Amino acid sequence: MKINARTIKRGGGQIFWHLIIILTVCIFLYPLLYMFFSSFKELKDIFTAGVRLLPKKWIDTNYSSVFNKLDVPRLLFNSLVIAGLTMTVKMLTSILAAYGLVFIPNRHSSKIFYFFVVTMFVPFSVIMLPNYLTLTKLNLINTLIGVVLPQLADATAIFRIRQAMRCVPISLIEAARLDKVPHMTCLRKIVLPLVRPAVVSMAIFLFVNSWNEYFWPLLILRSNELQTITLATKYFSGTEGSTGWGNVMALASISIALPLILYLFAQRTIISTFMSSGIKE
Amino acid sequence: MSGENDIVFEHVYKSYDGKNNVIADLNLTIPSGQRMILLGPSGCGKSTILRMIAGLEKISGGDLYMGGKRVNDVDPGDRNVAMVFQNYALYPHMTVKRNIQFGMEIAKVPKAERDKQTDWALDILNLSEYKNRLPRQLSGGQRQRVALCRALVKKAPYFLLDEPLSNLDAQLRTAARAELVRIHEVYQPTFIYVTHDQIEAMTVGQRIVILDKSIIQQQGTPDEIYNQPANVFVAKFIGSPCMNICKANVENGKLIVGDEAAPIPEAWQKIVGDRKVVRFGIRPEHIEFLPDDGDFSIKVTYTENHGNLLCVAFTVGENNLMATLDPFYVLQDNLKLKIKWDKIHFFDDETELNLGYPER
Repeated sequence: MKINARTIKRGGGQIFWHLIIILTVCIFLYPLLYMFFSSFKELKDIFTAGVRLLPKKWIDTNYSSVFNKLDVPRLLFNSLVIAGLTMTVKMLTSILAAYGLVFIPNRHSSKIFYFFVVTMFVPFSVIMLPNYLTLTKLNLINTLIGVVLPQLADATAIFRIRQAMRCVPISLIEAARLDKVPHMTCLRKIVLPLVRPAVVSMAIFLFVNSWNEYFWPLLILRSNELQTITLATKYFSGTEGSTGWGNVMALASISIALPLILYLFAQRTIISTFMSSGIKE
Repeated sequence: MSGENDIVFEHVYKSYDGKNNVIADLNLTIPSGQRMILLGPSGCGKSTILRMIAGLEKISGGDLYMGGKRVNDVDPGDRNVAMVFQNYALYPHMTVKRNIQFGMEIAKVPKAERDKQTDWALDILNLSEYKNRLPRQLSGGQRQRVALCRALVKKAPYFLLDEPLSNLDAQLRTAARAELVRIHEVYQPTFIYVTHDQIEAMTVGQRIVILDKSIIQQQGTPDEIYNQPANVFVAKFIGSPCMNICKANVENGKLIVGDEAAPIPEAWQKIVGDRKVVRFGIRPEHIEFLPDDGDFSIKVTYTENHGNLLCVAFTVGENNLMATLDPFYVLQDNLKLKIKWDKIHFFDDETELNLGYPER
């Protein structure tokens, strides 16, 4: 957006940047549209050579067979529980940690913070096995809680929210201290409203991340009634090239619908908070 | 004499790193119910002192008493202070009314009382019509007044202001200064006001503490500070244009600048003593030129007409001086500087301390 604003005065430049933006949007949009339209294609149509976005013949059997073969509401519910719980608790822990780091500093604050940051560089594959073993001992394999439990704190989220909170003028917090405002009230009524854009975008990010997660739930969840919508795609992938791609695309389309709707709603809040935030004043 | 809301610093130290003291051995009494100004250039430690009173900075050593009680370890919320911050610290997402009421909400003041107090404060500062606006919809001066309202409704015995006018333009400042004095009169809290602006200090203050390099240079009434500056720093810091300070030799009861000499009156001779070199100070408005009959020859370097006064820069020997004269004053040739002995200040050349005044 910044680039745009700066070049707005130079007419030619504006067109150039718009073209770049449109091109970028196309690159990002193409796979999504391909997925969406393929979910209405016959299998042989999908494998037709050449790039063709729209189906030759529109069919809805891909969807009906998905709904016939799978308990879609159940899958959505499981995904929602996992993503919702992960996002909520992660946000809670991150907000509290960030508030503590920024507004209740002590001698060790920065050390603690750097310790958090270091964990951002530990790849998932490294902690996967220890986590799995711990869950086995806790008897939490094949439970939704088992999927959620190891991801209830997130260094990236702490980092991002901390950065946002650091932009809140310290004098606001000092004014609150002089009025004996308890920390939780200060967090709820002063800090959170001011960092809302960062918090909302982080929440969406965490939700979508968790919603799309494939590998970890695959490892933990065994029984059919605990499967998530993302995991269900494997139901249609056959071993010898017999994958029902139309079905997979239909399922994928269903799976992204919810985060997409959520995002469209939240986007309005994000934009309006951006416009009304008066942090600099 | 001690009032119930005195603030007393006893040998107070403040250090951030444990090595360098920002404040060293501060001893200061801020009398109850007075408007006390902490004045000094930036970095002199005045804001730190204010923040120590508020409890926002921990005290590294010594004792701080407020209302007779040692408060070193008392939480800011329990010190009963109201504070106006330099950037006003208004909550950007709350309306003016909510900003003012927030503290009372926390203190669980009943709604009717909150509204009454808010209306009272808004009325005093002529802000009633703005109560439903957000801070960003207000001008700088209005925001500053909202911050004052917020502090006012607390009715705290201590009212702290950290450069509250520094973000306002010159015209608004004049109005705001009068407002601050008026607010103090409302319930006469102990008023501690930090500024680097000497005019604010002189007009708002009942007492002024002048700080430089974390050390108190002088404290007293505005009148005392202006007329009897304790040292060269204070003399030059207060007054605009600042006091002229000239180096002069003393020989046989004569003040010598360049090749010219003026006899020192007997009363002053006692004060100057046997010093061979002194500095004398004279305010620009006390300078008098006489044709031929003065004490020292001058050379005018430039003049500026400010409309209400004429500023004349000139040299005497190697000293650069400034005089403020009547705008219709005609600068003739052969003008000489006439020392008005009852308006002069003498300072020691080394310690820069004021040598005192003859009995008048």
